[in-house]
Amino acid sequence: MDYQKLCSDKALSIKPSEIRAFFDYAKTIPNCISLGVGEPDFKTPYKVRSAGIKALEESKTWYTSNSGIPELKQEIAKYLERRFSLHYQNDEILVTTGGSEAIDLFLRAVINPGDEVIIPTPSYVSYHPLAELYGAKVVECETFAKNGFLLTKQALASKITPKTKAIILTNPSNPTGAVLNEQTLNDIAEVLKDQDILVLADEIYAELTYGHKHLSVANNSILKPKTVLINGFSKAYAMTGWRLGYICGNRELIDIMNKIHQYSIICASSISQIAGITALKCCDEEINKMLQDYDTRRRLMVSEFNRLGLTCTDPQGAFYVFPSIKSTGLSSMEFCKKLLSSKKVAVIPGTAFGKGGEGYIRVSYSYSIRHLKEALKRIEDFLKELV
Amino acid sequence: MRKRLLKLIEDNPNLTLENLAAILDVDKMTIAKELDELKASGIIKGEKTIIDWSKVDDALLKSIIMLNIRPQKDTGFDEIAKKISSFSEVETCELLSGAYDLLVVVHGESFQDIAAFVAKKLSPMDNVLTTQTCFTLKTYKKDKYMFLEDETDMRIDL
Repeated sequence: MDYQKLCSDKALSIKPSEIRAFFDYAKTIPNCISLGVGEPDFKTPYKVRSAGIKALEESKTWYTSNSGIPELKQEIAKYLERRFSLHYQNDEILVTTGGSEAIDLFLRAVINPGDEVIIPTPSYVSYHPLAELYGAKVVECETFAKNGFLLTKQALASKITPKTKAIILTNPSNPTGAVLNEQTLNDIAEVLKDQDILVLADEIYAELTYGHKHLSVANNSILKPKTVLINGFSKAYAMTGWRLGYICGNRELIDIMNKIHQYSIICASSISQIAGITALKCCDEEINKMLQDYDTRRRLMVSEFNRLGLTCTDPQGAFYVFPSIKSTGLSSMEFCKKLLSSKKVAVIPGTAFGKGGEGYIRVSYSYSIRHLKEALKRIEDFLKELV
Repeated sequence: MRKRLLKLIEDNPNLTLENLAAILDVDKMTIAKELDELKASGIIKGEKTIIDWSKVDDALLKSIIMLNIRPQKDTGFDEIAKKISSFSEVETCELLSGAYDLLVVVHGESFQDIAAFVAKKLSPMDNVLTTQTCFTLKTYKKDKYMFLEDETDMRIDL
């Protein structure tokens, strides 16, 4: 049977992740140090794991309400209020199978074939293929290190057409760690204020904001009615494998997304949802401790990369640094391949994240200081040998 | 700052002055001065390499000896603890609350060596009332290092 012929054209047209092959190869190299992970190295807080175990023992293993356990949605609303001064009613919240499902639901709910979706790049790898899968035309809008990888008013305005349906903002950003400030949000609001354009605000890294309180896209009063907010448990509570997230927005939009969610997923994991309630109620202190550890590593990485001549803007969020490797004269992929083969350190080429990524690498600091120091030493040796 | 600095260097002795300055958001000179003071005052004692001796041929044996001591008027347990600590075989000596007074850690080449140390040097000491010697059979974790098979990082790169 010709399986390729049996697949949809759209599915066939999506490119596989360009870094997958790279890291599959890296895993075969003994003593290879990876700096490529996109999830916390911390364990899920013990009280959350205990709550999950207890839910299993009590056999809380049946379907829940489609949009999520009511108590969980109440706690999400309270959490958003407490941590970010955001106000959402229960019927404006939908519990999803990770932030990933939330992205998928949004696109399926709003995209008609030919609609344009603006994605500031470098950006998280999933938006582009998913938007295309649902028939959108992706319009990449490059951001630059000189602006701290923040979107500018002019750049955004230049990309808007009558076909623009949505813009996807990641705040804090994966891969750059950039965090939207008040000025940038005001600029975006000014461009969008009279437009029927939705903003998908992927704020899964919201708790990993350093030095100041996270400012959500939905905190901007002009943007809030246009904003569909994604957040979740993966990064804040080290619950990536639990697959638990949520999407918040206007209740009409939430109803439409819930309709799709009912048919495709039915509900998020019952056990994860119950554990999530405990996380929201009891783990503010754990978030703060993890944040301090991440901040320690962030400062180390920024300082070291700048010392090595791989200039690095100071990322205010997430757990990535995005240093420039332009001083080496190599392309991002050349740098990564040579570093891997000669020093057995795996980092991600910036080109994996779209336009604006060439000349950069993404380095995760979701590792112990010991691991990071060893990797940095090997990178330093590599750079000396290049000269 | 001092406590944070100490925790950082305790777990990561290879952090440079520059690293510490960046992490603590303090200039290098201040860190250097603080480190000098910590060494001079005896708060920083030294550095150590952690070794899994069980993987070495002719490995050293580790024993934990729990002692009951007769405390002395005026000096309490201090004098005898100092004498015990002065033995080169003694790696650790700590005063405890509870059923035992002192915990002593000794490494030796063999059971006989350690038994000989306890029988000939430790037990006969004035004011040592009882000793309870245990041998470490297996180390699971020590000084925050896992001694089992290396914990594999199960995360995927993406």
